[in-house]
Amino acid sequence: MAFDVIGLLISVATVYGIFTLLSLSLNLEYGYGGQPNFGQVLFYGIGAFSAGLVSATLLPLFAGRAVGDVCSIGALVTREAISASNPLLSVSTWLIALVVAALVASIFGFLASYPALRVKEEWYLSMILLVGAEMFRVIVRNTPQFGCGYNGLPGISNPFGWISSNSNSPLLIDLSTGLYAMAILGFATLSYIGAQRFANSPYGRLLKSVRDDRILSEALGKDVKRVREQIMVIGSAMAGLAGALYVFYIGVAIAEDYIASVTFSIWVMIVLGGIANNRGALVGTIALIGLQKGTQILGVLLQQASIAVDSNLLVYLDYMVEAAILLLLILYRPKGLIPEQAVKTVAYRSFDSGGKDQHA
Amino acid sequence: MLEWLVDSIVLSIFIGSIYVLASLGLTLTLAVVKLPNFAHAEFLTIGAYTGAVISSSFPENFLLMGVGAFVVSGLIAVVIHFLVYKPMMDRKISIYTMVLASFAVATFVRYGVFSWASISNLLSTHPSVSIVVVGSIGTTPITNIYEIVVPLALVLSAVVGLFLTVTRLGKSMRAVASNFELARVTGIRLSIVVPFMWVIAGGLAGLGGVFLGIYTAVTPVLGSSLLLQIFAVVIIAGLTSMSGTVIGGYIVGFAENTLMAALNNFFGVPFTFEPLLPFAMILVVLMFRPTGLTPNMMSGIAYARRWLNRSKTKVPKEGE
Repeated sequence: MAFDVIGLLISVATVYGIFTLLSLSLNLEYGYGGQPNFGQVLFYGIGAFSAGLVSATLLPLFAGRAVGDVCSIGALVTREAISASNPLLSVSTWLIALVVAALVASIFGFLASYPALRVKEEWYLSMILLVGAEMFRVIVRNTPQFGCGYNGLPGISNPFGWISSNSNSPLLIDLSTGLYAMAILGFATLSYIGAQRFANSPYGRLLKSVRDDRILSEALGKDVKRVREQIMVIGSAMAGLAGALYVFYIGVAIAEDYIASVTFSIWVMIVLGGIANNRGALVGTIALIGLQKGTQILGVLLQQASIAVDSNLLVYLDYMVEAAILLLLILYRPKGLIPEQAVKTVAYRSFDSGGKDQHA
Repeated sequence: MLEWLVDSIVLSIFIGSIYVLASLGLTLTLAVVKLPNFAHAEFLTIGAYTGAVISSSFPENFLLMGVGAFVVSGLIAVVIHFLVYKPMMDRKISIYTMVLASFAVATFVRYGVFSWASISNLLSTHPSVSIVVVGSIGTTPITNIYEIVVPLALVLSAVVGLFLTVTRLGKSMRAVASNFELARVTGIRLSIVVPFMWVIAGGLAGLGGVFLGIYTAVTPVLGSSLLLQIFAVVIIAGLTSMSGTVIGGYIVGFAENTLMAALNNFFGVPFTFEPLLPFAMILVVLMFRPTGLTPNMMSGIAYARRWLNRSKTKVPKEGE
């Protein structure tokens, strides 16, 4: 083959895992909780930057070196040397960074839910979160003290990078990136199982009732504001985790990666798959990632066949196709590929199977 | 000395005028069809490119550029209405989904312009018009563009205001805005009023885009980079007030330029933080005063009027 198939599969798996986390989190917030989060990229970005900063600070600290200025070339070289030579340190720092990223993002989710849940009209919430995400980007890009400003915070290595550090063998490089992709898919699977259990629990039904009729839920004695706060916190933590996983994959935390188009893609994924449906989120995510990667492969193939096509043009067409998919879905198939299904309570399962697996 | 102040005030009035042109249409959209149209800023891009293309055949012809941009942006707005928004409104789709759909329209139009511009090699272009300095205030030069835009924005907002209060079509537009169902049962032809509203909304934004393109440069992100600023204007105006939008445009213009220049001068805040000012305005207004500042402006005007007329309307005292 003309290009690296294994490398391609690994990168598809990595990006798929990260976006599965994002689409599951938005699906929990919007599909189940009814919160139209148009600023999901804010929590993704917060997760990425906090993970980057934690890893850049802790690696030299644990190795007994001076931390100094994390943006400097010297610090970058030190970090990379430590993570290439010390497996234990690099994996443990990575895990700490993931936890911190999820925590920081969930704190911001709580803070964002405060104004967002108190606004008068429904779409104000979307506006506030959208503006919040843009503010974050402007602040991070122009504040060198936080995340190194415009150039971003570089040198956040793959936690399994030590496998291939002493050789140039492509097999070992694939092994280290493949291992990382497996780890990401592991997180995605865990969060899918979690989301599935969550959605089919009494709490999931409470969320749906809050989404469908707030006044009714309140009349039944449910604390609607509290529930909406909780779902924002959980969703943001998942998005923050996705951001942290992404930053260790791409190696640099840079503000321009966290633009509104990312949020838009996540929305297309969940609408395509079917809102309030975790399986739908998985399907929608793979469809969109397939589209995006497909355009990239098409670009490479066209280049190899020496057909001169501007590679940017393919990216533009990709965005146009995404937007067209979304519009057509809203018009002709608003429930998505897999429509929302009834919550699987014990009673429902028993009814569904004709009373056969009551003890299941 | 105070050159920065004069400079920034002159610039504020210019940018404010462009914001007024860009936002009037969004206010109209929000009032008549209740749609927060996130694709509105793309009309500026379309207008700017139309102006640039026209100017390559007819250089220096501001009238033709303006009219062409108005017509093309207006028509595209109507096409979007018929293809996307009208079918969705007929299906009574929820407001969140409409917002999402307007995002999709914006993305589609923006990358459509991107594709066309990259094929035609126009990713960043300048309309062929010459910017001439025609006068100055202190040391601050005043250009011919400035002399066109500022009066144009004021005159057009007055024209739109007159149109809404005097003509039959304008009155029916206001009727639709205040009560959709009632307007329909009264026999107002929605099939005429709503598309006409889109022509005005898209056209005014396109016109603003022409002058913005002359002032900066025509790129496919010309409009979308100002989306949230335009929303800030409309939100400050309380979403549906036309006179509020005119004032709101200048408020945002002054905040971004004069206030920013002052912050830079006195506190050393770098100019790169400029977008944070309108963003912060959106957050503060939505959270604490979702009706916008128009009621305050109106009560301020009423108060001033009372104060001016205080001698005439004096209440007679007891026993007089």
